[in-house]
Amino acid sequence: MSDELRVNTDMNVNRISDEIWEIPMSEKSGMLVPARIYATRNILQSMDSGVFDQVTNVACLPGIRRYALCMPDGHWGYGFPIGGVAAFDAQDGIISPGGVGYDINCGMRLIRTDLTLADVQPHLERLMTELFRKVPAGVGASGFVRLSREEFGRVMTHGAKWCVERGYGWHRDLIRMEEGGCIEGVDASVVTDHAIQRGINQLGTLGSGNHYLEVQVVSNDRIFDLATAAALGITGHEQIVVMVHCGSRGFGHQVASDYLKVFEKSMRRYGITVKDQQLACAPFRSPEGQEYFSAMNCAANTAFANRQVITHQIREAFATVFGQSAEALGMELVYDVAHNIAKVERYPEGELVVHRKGATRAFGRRRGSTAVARGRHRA
Amino acid sequence: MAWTIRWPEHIAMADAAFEVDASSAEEVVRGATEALLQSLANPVTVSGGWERSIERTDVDLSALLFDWLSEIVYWKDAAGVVFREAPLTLVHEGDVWLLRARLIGAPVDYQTQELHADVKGVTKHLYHVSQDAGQWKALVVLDV
Repeated sequence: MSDELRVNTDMNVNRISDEIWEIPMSEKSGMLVPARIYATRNILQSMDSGVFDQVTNVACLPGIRRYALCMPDGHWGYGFPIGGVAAFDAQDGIISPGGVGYDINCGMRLIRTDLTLADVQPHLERLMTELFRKVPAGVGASGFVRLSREEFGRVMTHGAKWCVERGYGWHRDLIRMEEGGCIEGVDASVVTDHAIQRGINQLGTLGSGNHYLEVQVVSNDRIFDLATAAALGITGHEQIVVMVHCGSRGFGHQVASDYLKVFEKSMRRYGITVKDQQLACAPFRSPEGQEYFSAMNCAANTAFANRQVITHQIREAFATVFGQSAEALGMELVYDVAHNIAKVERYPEGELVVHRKGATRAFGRRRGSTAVARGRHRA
Repeated sequence: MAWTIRWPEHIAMADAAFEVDASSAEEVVRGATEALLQSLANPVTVSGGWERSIERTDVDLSALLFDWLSEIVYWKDAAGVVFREAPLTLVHEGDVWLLRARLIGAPVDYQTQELHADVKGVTKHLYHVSQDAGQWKALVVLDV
């Protein structure tokens, strides 16, 4: 068997460890830091060429710190690879919609139940029909929540909190979400009318593409850490759980598109050049950068709200089909986490604007007031 | 119809892409418009009733087409409609391209329309409009 590394790039890819690979700065003109890919040898060799090109493009962006990173599931994306992570200095670095993704705060949430496959199987068709009825998907889907512009403004600023206040969820749901389902201190006035018009009727809708609502079964042989799983309410024995993958829908896309346009123009003024149009960016501290950050957070809050309204509808569907309340069915939220977002985080290096695209944060237990710590379930 | 549309599957894994070849700038815009309408729904299953007249100008045809396609996606969400057709004219006056179009469609109806993907937007990934030896080409990647 040959030990020769066969990757989809002409660039040198050096082994740092069995799971970390590095493309040195010498491999592309303009790289300010090396690029690092977390992958086994087999995974690395199966990555598409876009990953290597895109992660090294990210390494050229102003203010990047330490490395441009790509996670093991990295694949070609718009601007950043999906699975791309990069941190930029909050004082002299940039913010880029390409590092967040068009679907701002696209994320996953998992809802547990006390039901088993045996409980659900006889009612599956009715349950699916009810879920399809209550959670619209596909082209032109609009949700049951009808909002005035003023009220939609509150969704943008209060996220999932707005939902719980309106009865679309339980207060304890909020502690099981990244940021408690609400990024505070956002300014909704920076969101364009176009974005609002696209988003105002979409609360509680899934969209299409790779977004989904799945009723899943947890088998015992798929639980790798019984104690942790139990603490999260996952007990196995053919347990039924519901997973949701969606984000800020057309609203978030419009926010990203609006600010890509703004940044394409302002980059000249700031003397920034990028390797790919979809890496258009602005200095984080610039007026344009701050406005995008606020608009992005409005979209992130709207995505938290979207998944919360969907959760409410899922609970209603189950309650209707099984003739018991969602509480009685044990339909607790396990966790909700974003995988398309930029956040300001404090590290030993200082304040950094961490872009995660198709990647989630998972801090260790010593990291105090983090989303993971706040959302952690107790046994 | 003086354009051809291809749907390369290798370009955008979870999304959609189309390439248009046409004999003129106007036809390449018509072809790209048709491809986008088809991405959303089968146009022949969509009745009329909803209509917008849209006019756009730009010195850059590539930017003009991008904005026009983005506007179609915008109306899909803002008005909750899909489209039957979008008759248009494109003229080049001096340095400026002028697009005049009518966007014709109907509110989304799951019972009567053959609905396709819920396109979120037009992307700039690999996006280009070009002319070579009298033949026009456009490549568009849609985020779904």
